[in-house]
Amino acid sequence: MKRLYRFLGSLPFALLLISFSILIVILGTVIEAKTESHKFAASFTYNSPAFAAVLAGFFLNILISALHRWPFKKRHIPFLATHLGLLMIIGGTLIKIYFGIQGRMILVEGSGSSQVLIPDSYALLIEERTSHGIVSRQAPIHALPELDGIFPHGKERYGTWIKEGKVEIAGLKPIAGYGAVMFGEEVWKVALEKTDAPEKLAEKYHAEKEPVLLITEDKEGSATVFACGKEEGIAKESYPADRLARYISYDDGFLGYTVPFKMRIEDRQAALKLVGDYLQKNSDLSGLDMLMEQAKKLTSKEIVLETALRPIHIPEEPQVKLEENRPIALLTIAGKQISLAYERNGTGLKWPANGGKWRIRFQPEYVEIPYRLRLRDARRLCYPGTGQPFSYEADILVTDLKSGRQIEKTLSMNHVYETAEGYRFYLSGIAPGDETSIERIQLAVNYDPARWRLTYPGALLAALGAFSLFWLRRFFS
Amino acid sequence: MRWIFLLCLLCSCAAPEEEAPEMQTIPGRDRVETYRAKIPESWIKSPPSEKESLADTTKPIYQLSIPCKEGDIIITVHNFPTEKFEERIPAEAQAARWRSQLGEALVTEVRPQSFGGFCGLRFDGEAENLAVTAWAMLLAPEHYPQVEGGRRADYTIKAVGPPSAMGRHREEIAAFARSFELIEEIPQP
Repeated sequence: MKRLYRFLGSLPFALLLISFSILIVILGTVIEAKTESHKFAASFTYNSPAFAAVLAGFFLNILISALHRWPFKKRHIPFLATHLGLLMIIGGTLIKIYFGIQGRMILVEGSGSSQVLIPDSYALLIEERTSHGIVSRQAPIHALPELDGIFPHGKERYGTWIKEGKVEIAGLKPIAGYGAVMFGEEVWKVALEKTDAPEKLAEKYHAEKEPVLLITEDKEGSATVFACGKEEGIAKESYPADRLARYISYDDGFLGYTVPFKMRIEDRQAALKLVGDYLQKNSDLSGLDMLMEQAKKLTSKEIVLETALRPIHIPEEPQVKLEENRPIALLTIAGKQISLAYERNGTGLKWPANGGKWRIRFQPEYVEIPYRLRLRDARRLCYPGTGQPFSYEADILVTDLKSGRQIEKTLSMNHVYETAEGYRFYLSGIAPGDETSIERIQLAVNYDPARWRLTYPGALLAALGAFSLFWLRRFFS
Repeated sequence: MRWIFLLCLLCSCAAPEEEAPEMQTIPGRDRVETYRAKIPESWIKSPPSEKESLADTTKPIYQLSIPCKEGDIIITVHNFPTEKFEERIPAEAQAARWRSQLGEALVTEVRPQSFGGFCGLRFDGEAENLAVTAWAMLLAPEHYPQVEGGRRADYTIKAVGPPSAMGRHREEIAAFARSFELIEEIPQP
């Protein structure tokens, strides 16, 4: 035991630890260079139990080598100061890892937040309507009894007008292949076609001069809807499978979402009335058919068709670059299975669940911080006369939630704002960067509870100790 | 001793935090305090009379003026409440109206703008005896479903005055316009 104790505080052990650290760093560098994935490299090195063991080894080695000097004398002071400083630095690092915050905050102009998203964490955000309004809570996804499983990677598509090979229009029975539907008093053919040239197909249908609602789907699953009425012109709208276009939410999303399609149909009653009014003043009945056609054109009315928006998740092989993986969670809630794709930034739609009682989203865990940040204005600064940016800035209003005090700050690249408590906010991204739509910023948020209490004092102490060891030895002897 | 002094000096170098300067509130068309902005002390504020109805959107919800020797600059704020998204007046339509009001304009410029949760455009125009700098701002589509009532209104800020006076005060006016925001935070979309 004594030999082990001596070894743990010895120089050979310190050299062994340093060698291991160097090997881990080299391994991490090589893996990251080969895979272009810091996360992948970290899983084998910095985040591995081996690296934690090396840190623990350093702590023991420094502590025991200091204790070897017991009983302590005046001449040991520089040595002990250096070692104590190093122990404080390592202690501070461990406290930062386990009790600190390293995350990001997304802010949209006009809005604010006091929530920091923790990257690479997985939680289910659940929102529920109560008598006090909408209440949010989160639960680590792995701890949920409703969780059936998680695919490490997949892609998300949006199902709209075509579901399971049939055309689905809200309020009507699903139509497979071809069908007919009454819109008002007009009969429309409905055709479902798979094609990568939807416009050409629409023109072919339009040439038939009969009202047709054509829904096409391409190889990627994107839908295009055409209303080829008797009039000139074809109403068209595209619904890409890989991104959201316009949508309508019902009950703020608690009852789901739909996508709309606007088209014009005949209003026969209005057309007849118009013709009747005309004939009361002009009794000439020749050209009545043409008159009726003109009346139909003038009195056509707009209707909006809707179909439910549904997410479709397709598991895929995980990427080597772990940062590009998008996990898919499968859950069974109130007897209904639902799949959710990971929303890395905590944005994206919240989907209805539990019979409309909940809105849920699969996203990183968030922690509440004692500051609320409101983004007032984000902008890109360009070189005069050019569109080349040289800096980005964001005006934020910081409210200390404990005291109510408010401070205005302008963040810019390399200009960090740090609160008195040690929360640091760093502007790490801005989109879109021009002013054509509202700006969104990403802040890197860092909180190290040990920075001023342990880490920095430890660094100062280690520096003073090392200085004294080499230049003030005579003073302490 | 020198080290202690150095440490004290380093610790005292932190820049003092700036308290947020006071914002002045501006009521909406329903007379409820809805907006706020930084209004320079030297500007003269002319809120609408309590007896006057503001239902007509041609009437400003607030008016300010900057006294200048060659003629005052008049700044008017209008807002346009809507029930439906489709009812909103496009920013380009406002800019076209301002352009036509200037008559024979020597210079006009339109730039996109985005701040405070609103996006739209800034119009700068100059005729021989008159200069205009104006903003037409619409509540961002992402925010529209989150906001209700009078807060949902789009707004315009228009500054009109002699060209020389406008040139001197343009930055100050722009700072006022860009500080204009809803008092209540908009929920994250």
